[in-house]
Amino acid sequence: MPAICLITALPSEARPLIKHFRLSAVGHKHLRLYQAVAGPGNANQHAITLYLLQCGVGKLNAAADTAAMLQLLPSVDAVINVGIAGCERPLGETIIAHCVQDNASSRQWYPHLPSSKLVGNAVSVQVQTVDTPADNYTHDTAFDMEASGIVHAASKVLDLAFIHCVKVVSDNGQSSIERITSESVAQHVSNSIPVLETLMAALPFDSQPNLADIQALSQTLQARIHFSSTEQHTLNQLLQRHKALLGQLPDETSLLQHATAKSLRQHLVAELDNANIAY
Amino acid sequence: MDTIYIEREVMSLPRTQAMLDKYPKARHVTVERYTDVFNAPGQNFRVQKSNPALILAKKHGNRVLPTPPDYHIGGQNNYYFSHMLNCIYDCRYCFLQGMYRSANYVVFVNYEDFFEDIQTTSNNNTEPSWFFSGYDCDSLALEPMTYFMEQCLAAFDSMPNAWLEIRTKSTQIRNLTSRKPIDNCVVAYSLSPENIARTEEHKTPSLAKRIKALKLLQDHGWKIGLRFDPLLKAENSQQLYSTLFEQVFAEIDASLVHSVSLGPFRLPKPFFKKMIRLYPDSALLSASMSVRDNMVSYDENTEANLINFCESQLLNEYISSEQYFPCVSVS
Repeated sequence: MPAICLITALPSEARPLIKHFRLSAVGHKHLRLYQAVAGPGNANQHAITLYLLQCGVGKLNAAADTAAMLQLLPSVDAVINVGIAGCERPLGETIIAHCVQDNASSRQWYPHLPSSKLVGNAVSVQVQTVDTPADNYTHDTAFDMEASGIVHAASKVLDLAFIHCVKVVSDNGQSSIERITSESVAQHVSNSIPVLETLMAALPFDSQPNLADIQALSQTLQARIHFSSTEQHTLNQLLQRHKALLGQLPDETSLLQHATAKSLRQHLVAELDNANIAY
Repeated sequence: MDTIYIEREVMSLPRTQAMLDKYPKARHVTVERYTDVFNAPGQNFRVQKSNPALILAKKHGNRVLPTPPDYHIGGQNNYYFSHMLNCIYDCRYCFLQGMYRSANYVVFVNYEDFFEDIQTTSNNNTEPSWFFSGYDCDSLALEPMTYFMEQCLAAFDSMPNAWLEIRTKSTQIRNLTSRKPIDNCVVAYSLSPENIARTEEHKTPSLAKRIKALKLLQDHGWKIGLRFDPLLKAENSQQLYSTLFEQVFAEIDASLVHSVSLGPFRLPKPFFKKMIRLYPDSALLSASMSVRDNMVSYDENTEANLINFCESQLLNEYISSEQYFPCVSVS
């Protein structure tokens, strides 16, 4: 079951999401983390595990909390930054980042966006992360204060097809940053939920190989037989090859009859050496 | 095409604009250099392959490069060039999966620079020079969008000392059949047994369609080449390849075939390791392999048996030794 973590900076950004997705606090000592199992489902209607992290304002908070969350929850497959941004577009418009740039370092990331057929008509722009609020608005760049920190930290662990930013316009040339209130933020984020759900449903989890059964069998064998780190790696490779070549995993009961990792490896290698593909 | 990245330098070129017009609904993202997107870390080739983006860029330098030593069809001077990186097809054995971080398609729009470099390279040799297209991409698959080959043929028409090989699996041959063939060009099709093509060469035209395209090209007077590459082992390899040769030569006039080559399945070890990580569920990549000179391939006996069988079938039944070039290798 894929796991997605939404990341917001402000409590007022988090609140509508917590309410909509019926999240509850995890009760972590340092992280403001919430969790739910259920809900939106991805494109193939698989259930997902949903988390929300409220990281605080600024890219350093964002990077530090994202890294800590991914350390705590290694099962997280995707992160989506949700929050407000300044852009010369209508207030409340929801936009997706096709590029995230850190203003201070000029470093850029290009999230691999899902097909536009799957994410509807959501507009995509560059999101530029600034250290202090900016008001030199343009229609093709949105200013925020966290995205580059989140993408920087998350890209150490996740592929760029699974790191996204959904922003909602909170200020522009006609409505300055001073007019933002916690109520307007909550309202804007609430309005962005349909786009967010569409994006979550379009994440390409199904294009990744499913190794869950291989990992489960490997764990079972490692619980009964001692494997060094190298032997564990070899075991996983052999199990993968077995499934790919012979169409199924080897019989668990017969594997558990081996007393040592070496004997088990020799058995699998012999079986695979004799395997042939027929087209 | 959902997303098109465009280098700022080529944004205003008519050719760029013509390509953008083909995809009116695509998102446009301006970039400084194509490498910012294409070579960025943290990309997943397999995920991107299901929804690749297009990148329009300018190729600066290194446009014409010498081929590896055994990549030739009899010429002394051999070069390759790639107006495009990556391929719209998804062949499980393809080395591009191991070579590039990204599955996005890069199209270099400065065609004239390629033609100029080809001309200069050709002029530097007194013997004829061979230029191979289709090394880092399929030469024809995106022709309805790029029109590269149409213009490339016009360029080669005025370079009699330069020979062009168009390597392809595509049936997009309208730009060839609608014009007069040129003497210094060979259109070479990569062919695999039908069942292998269906299983391992995803999104490609069927064997029957490729043979039909070959026949059409031959009937129009084009020189054609046959590339049985890579040769894949199977329980029933001999039957598969015998049937393939029968099917091909039942339609094609063997005496008029310019060249036939065989290519063993070989991949640089780092590419193979990356491909296994991307496709642990691939039976082809999970088969027993051996490593020789940092190249992953079938063991020597298996490889030799496969090549010898195909070679003897071809030479005994269909073609002359002058038409045959043993190992033009690029998986």
